[in-house]
Amino acid sequence: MKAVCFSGLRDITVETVPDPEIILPTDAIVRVSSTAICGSDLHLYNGYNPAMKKGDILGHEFMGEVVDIGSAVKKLRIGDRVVVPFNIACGACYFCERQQYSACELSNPNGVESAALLGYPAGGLFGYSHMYGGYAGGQAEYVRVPFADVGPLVVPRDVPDDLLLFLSDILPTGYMAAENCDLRPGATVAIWGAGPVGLMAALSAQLLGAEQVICIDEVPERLELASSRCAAHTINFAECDDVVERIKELTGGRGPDSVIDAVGLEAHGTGLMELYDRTKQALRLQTDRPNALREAIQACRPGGTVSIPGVYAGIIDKMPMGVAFGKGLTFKMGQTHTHKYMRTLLNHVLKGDIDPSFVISHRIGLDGAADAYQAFNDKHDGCTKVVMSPVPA
Amino acid sequence: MAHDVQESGGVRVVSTAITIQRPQREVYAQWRNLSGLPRFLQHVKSVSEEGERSHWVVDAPGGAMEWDAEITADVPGQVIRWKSVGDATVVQRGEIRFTHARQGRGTEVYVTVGYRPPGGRLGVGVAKVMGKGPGIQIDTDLHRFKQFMETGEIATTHGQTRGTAQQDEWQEEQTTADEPDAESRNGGGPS
Repeated sequence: MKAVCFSGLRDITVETVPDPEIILPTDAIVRVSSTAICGSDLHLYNGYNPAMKKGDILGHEFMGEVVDIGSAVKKLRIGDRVVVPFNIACGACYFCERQQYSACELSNPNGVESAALLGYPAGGLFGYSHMYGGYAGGQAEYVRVPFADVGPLVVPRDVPDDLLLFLSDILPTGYMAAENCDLRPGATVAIWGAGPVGLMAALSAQLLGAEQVICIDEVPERLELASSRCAAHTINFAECDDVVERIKELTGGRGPDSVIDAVGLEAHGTGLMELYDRTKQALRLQTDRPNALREAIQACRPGGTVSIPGVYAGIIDKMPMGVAFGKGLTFKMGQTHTHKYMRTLLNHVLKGDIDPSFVISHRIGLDGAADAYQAFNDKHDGCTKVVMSPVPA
Repeated sequence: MAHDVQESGGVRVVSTAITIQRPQREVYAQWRNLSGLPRFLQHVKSVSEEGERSHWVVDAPGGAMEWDAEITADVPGQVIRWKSVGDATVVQRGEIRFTHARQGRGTEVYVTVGYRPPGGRLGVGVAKVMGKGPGIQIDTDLHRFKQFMETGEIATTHGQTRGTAQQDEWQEEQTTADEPDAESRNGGGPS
């Protein structure tokens, strides 16, 4: 089969590799119909994760059809159309029992090594380095899905992929970010980052009762989507002297009830000091990135909530802790408990409450992956979201 | 994470703990079946039991290492203690203790292993076997044990497809301990 492989720093290759096989009796094999490139894939692309190895198959946003199941799979059947959550959860451990799926302590074969570096055993992820289990990803024609009765959500046949694919990651991620805001009816939310997650958070916040949403970014087409598709006020921080003051003006001087940092740090996926140093080095080149969280803390009203879906991996400098303490802010954050939200969000999609497909800017086959990674990375060509179809429709 | 300290007489002691969400007696019983331990212990090739004695075979570069051990205490559901028989062995003694975990969290498992770091050629072999150090190896083995007790399987990517491959420290180690996983394959990828 064809698969999109990591071949080194900003080096993506499409290779012909053996088809995946059932390894454990609880596995399934899914034939991928659509798969997307995630903003977090760019952290791998840019070499921020030292646990990536050449030849690793990328991708954690995918859906398709079940073509094989292991002998212990009970619920899933061959022929089912499924969306697969980006994190791999065992369904049985303490955290899975409490629907804290992203904290699954048993899905990562390298759990102990990851704990030696991070201080806790990280859960497994598709296509996201050996720190997170080294599982082959979904930017391929076929993918092996472990714990097949736990993750994949069976979806109706008569709904287009575009409406369903993002149940795998960005829609639940945006939704959990909004849910973490503890919104009351009429609330105001400010969101840093109008990328796909920030936009999904904007829609979700409105679904959960927010009346005013403010999106902060610098990419014109992303701000345009925030304005036209999410009914958000927008602030282009590249053209604004003082984002915090601008937000206060928009909120009667009070500041938003909740703030969402949908940017995060560029570095993703390790706690290594070596990586931290590389991160700092890189951040000097991309000076605006770490400002999002600081600005969010400064803008939030006293007693408000800071929700962080943007990924942080190591240590951050100059955190305005005194402001956060003084205002009595609540912080909520973390990797998405995707499984917990998929069914709820499927129902919203089927009812027409949310249509996430507007974020798609590019559609290609797997062969175009290298160029697409570059365009997405450089934010060229209006690239907000790339969807790849391994099998031509 | 495991704690590794120097004791007197050239012996080092590793201690660690893990919580397993299964009843105390069940966890004890699974462990007490010594011949089943190679499923969890990555470098242990076989354990055979004869009364209070057991014979251990461990994979090492340049051939297997073998020794005998003797159970010195066995309280069902609570504790197993053992010590090695003879002088030439690396692992000197060990204890695994099972206690009730509060809040319905199952069983707390406490492991202590006393070992004598060997020198010479044997030492090099052992260092290779225990690549990441005995502490991380014991933690890894206990994590595998926990995976099996809670989910019924040991998560693995061993044998999965990939692009231009290169083996590295993040790849799961390919030892005979992984064979039970391989046996459960029912083959047949997509056609």
